[in-house]
Amino acid sequence: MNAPHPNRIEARFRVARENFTLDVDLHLPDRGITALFGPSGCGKTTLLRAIAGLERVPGGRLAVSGERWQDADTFIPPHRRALGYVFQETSLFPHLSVRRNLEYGMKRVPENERTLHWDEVIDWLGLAPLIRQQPHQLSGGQRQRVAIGRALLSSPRLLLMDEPLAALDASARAEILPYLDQLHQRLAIPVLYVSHAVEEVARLADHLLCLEAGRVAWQGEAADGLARLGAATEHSAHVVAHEDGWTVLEIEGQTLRLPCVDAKPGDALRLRIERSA
Amino acid sequence: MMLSPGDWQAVVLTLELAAIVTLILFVLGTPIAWWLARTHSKWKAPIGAVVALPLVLPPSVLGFYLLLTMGPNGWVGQFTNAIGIGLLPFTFWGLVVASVFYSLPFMVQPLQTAFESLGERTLEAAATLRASPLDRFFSVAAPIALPGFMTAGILSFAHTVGEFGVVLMIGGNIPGETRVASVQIFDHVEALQYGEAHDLAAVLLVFSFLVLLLLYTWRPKALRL
Amino acid sequence: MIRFRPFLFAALMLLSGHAAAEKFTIAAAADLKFAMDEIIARYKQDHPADMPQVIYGSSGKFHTQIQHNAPYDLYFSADIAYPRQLEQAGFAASPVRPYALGRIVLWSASIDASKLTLASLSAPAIRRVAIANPRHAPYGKRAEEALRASGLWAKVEPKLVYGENIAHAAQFVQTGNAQIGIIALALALNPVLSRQGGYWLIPDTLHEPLEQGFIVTRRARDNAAAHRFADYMGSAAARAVMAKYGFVLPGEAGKTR
Repeated sequence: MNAPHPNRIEARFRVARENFTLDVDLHLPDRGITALFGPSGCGKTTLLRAIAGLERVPGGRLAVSGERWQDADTFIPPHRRALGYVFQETSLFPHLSVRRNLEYGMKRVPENERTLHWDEVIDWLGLAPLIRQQPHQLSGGQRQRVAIGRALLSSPRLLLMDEPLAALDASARAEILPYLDQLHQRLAIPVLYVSHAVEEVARLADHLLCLEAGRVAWQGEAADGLARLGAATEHSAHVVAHEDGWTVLEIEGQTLRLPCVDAKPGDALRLRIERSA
Repeated sequence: MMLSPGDWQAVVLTLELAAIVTLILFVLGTPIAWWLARTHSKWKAPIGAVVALPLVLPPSVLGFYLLLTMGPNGWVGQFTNAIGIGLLPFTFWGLVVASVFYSLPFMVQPLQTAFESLGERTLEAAATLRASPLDRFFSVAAPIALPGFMTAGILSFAHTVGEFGVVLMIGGNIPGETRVASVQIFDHVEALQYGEAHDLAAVLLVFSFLVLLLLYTWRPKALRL
Repeated sequence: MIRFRPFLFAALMLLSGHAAAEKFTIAAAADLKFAMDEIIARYKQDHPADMPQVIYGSSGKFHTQIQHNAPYDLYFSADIAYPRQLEQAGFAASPVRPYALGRIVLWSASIDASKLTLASLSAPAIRRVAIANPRHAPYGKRAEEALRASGLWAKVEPKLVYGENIAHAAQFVQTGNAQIGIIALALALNPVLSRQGGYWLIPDTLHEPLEQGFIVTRRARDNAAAHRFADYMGSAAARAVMAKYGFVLPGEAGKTR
């Protein structure tokens, strides 16, 4: 077996599921934000869970920055992997205050192994006003910020984010995105960011990995990928109604308003999205 | 209301029994409940059914089997004899063993419900924050399930206090050893000592009411067994 | 199952329009368990239309229950004092009739008790001795009296375990949880228990007589079948069964083997 590459995340997993088979052999850079992009049910979350060790995939291999986390005869359990994981839905401990939530992972890492420090994380994520509160007092966006802070304070060498904004409404997303931008600029560790939202990928990702039906469809620099992505993304929608000169479309369960489109309510449309320049 | 020394002895014995049984059940019932709440094993249904058996079995059935298995010809009896602690029927520890079986579902079921409602996500989050399985249990699962522990403890304690049939079958009615309050009341009634029976019965009635009042006041949903 | 068949039989007779069938319920002391089953079986042969039903338990409990209008038509008590109290309180529809003198024995399922005496109970090898609860079971009272009279009470009392009634005490011995018990001769002579161990008859000079008596209860005063059964207890057939199970019969002073 080859020695793992010191500056790469190497992952090989094959998982058979009812509706798809995840079959990937990845070599990802161990810096910057890599977006795992693809439609729901293409295996993004399964891949992320396998990397975290939350899903034990027999026969899988995984090495992060030269450290073997899983191979034929090794399986490091999740709590011994230096990773941070941000879940789609809130995962704060309801019985602990925001402060105790933030401290939870930090306390479990020896002081001399901590790479990210309390003050910086609190500052980057604007958590200072929330620290004395209880999780149930927070808004959805605030909760996700705390969850990100909590993951960072455990000084991970790899941050895994599973659609962290998907459960939030538009205004909460708008509130949290600037913080993620900040992280992007300051974090030295690699981030795997699962998303099916092009806007997030466009704004945050350095690298892009497109998954389709459990297989890698494309991988490379995000800028190149988005151009392809733009050409490739087509959505079917249908007209819901016309309101005050706007046309309301329903697109994959979401509502989209466009300046008046020439179509009748109920008509099916095809939307094509391209990145400009 | 005055209780005779014999009645007091029975009350104290009953409370001792219930306290010890509840402590043992916490240690024994927690892993069982945890396993039942989280496993996908094909054994989940059979084991769950065995744990729930005392809910439907008449105490006399349990008492009868315990008397046979813990007796000198039963395998438990031969084991306890072999390791030098003698036979369990007619002893306080025999009652403890019987009560642990009898009250097991009252410990396991509330705990299982509490553990089931924990949610996989919370525990996974703790795992990704460097908490080992045991650490996760004590720092996350147990505190969140604390109300379940309270309910389970109170129900197990109260149910042991109210036990009668099994004790009658294997206790042998020995003062200070196996003559618990419920048996003492039965004896008073049989001996036509209604006054004494009333006094002791009132003590148990008030006690049971207070326990349930506490439970219902503090957790109105607790008794949805 | 055993007692179900006569029921079925009687029910069929009812359906076929046979009018004379009458039900009655017997509450009998636990020591009568085997003797009474046999007597009822014989009675049924002579009176196929009658439907007796029997419940065994402790005499004291039945005594309490009858005072609270329990649906028993005949009451057989191991202590004649109970039916006498009921008669005085107006709960009886017949005079109290003595039906037997009970005897107590040492019995064991694991050792040959016929070679023992009461003094053997103080041996260290005997760890548990089962008796019926003396507070409310007549056989338990007599057991206590015999132990006191022979000066063994202080030594044996720490070994005692108390059954709810005499059958319960016998069950403690039969399962081996008590090495020995003081039970009714009638139980020791029954087909199941007599196959195990053996018994030693405790001299009746050591305790008050276990005079046993029965009454027809007030609720059965118009129940012809109940009275018919009461009379049957005096018949030669019934007396033969009683004698077979070790009961000394009224008018036949103290000749037991």
